[in-house]
Amino acid sequence: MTILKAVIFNGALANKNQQTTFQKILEEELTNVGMETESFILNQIEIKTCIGCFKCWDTTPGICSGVKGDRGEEIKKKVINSDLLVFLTPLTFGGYSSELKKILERLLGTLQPGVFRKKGESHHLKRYEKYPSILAIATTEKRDEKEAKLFKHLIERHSHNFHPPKHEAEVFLINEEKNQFRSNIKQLLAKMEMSL
Amino acid sequence: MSKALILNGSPRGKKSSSASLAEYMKILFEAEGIESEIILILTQLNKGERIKEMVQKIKSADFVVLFAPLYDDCQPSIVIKTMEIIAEEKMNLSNKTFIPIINCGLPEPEQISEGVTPIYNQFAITVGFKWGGSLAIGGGEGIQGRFGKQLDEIGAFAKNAIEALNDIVQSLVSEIQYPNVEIILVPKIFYKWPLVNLMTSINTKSWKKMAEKKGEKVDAQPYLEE
Ligand SMILES: Cc1cc2nc3c(=O)[nH]c(=O)nc-3n(C[C@H](O)[C@H](O)[C@H](O)COP(=O)(O)O)c2cc1C
Repeated sequence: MTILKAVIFNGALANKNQQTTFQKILEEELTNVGMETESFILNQIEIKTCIGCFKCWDTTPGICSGVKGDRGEEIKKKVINSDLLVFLTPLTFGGYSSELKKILERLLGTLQPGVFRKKGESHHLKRYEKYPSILAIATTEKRDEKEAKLFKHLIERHSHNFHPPKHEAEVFLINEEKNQFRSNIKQLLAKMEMSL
Repeated sequence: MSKALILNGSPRGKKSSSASLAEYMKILFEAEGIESEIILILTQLNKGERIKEMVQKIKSADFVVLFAPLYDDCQPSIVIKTMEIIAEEKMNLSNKTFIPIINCGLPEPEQISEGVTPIYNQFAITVGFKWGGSLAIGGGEGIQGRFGKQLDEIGAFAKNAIEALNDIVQSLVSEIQYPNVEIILVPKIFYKWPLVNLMTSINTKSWKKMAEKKGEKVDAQPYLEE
């Protein structure tokens, strides 16, 4: 039997709420559905930002050779071989935190430079047959419907370009009651049919 | 006299489409007697004191114009970081106008205006900047290849961008609200069938050739397990 793998990206900012409680619950619920889970608290890991050189497209296809001396490639390898990628990010003007984004942009090489057209828009070709599904969880101190909508829309667009078989996005208050968060996560995982 | 701060948010720094656009904007500002300065977010974020310096410059500007590429349907990490810093500072920004000028690799400016423009707008609202409109430039990658030349020296390709930058500066000078504008750099006909299919295929083939020149396969699949 193959074991499904999940990777959690915790994009909390240093010196801010570390989203530890939510990360733990996510880990537990993923284990509950039989997934092998690995978490990365991004602000504690050496990951440099993308320099936009496109070497992962035209020089060493699929491999970042423009940025050196960090854990970006090791983490990318885990993503490629996973079934579910979880974003856990403080909601930042309706988008991702800088910590989450620094690893996301290092994943560019998982796509090919060539493009295809769909519904009047261009998108990059897949490099791999299979990509992980995406479960995007944003946390916020104050509920703001407009920001929540922006976040869901961003995940929608990002998913057109990153080919996850399934994607879900949800926003939670950072002080959300634990059991409430847990039951919501259970529901989301069930909706994504994330167990074997 | 008004002061403009031009933030270059490209991770490519000085060799970027954002840089070419920013430099031209500076010329336009100065022609209007507006003092302007370009700073590179990339180097500014390196050190604590440089971050303070950037915050200080924002405080003393009347117009804050941000040039940045579209990365994964949103802002590059270094730009988000800058936005987080600005929010953290809790400055009074109500008399400062903020304009994001975003360029992307794919040809459609909607890639920008559909996704990231509303995020920049939400940022402006949250931190208290006056929203000065926005510009989305589809296919902006083409500008970078001509680096070393001023925007008005690269020919017809930059025409729409030059016009838009002019309009923005004029709007700021005459205090007229600039709208949210989308532009493309190549004639519209290239966006329609059959030319669009031809362009797409030429583009895809040229990447393949570039990789082949380096002895590589553009569709390689490194890192796969099993
Ligand atoms: C990590 C990364 C992600 C990108 N994501 C997008 C994207 O989602 N859509 C797009 O049209 N272009 C995308 N691009 C292309 C850039 O927007 C394009 O190259 C742009 O012209 C760069 O501008 P600059 O030279 O000012 O940095 C991406 C490039 C990189 C390196």
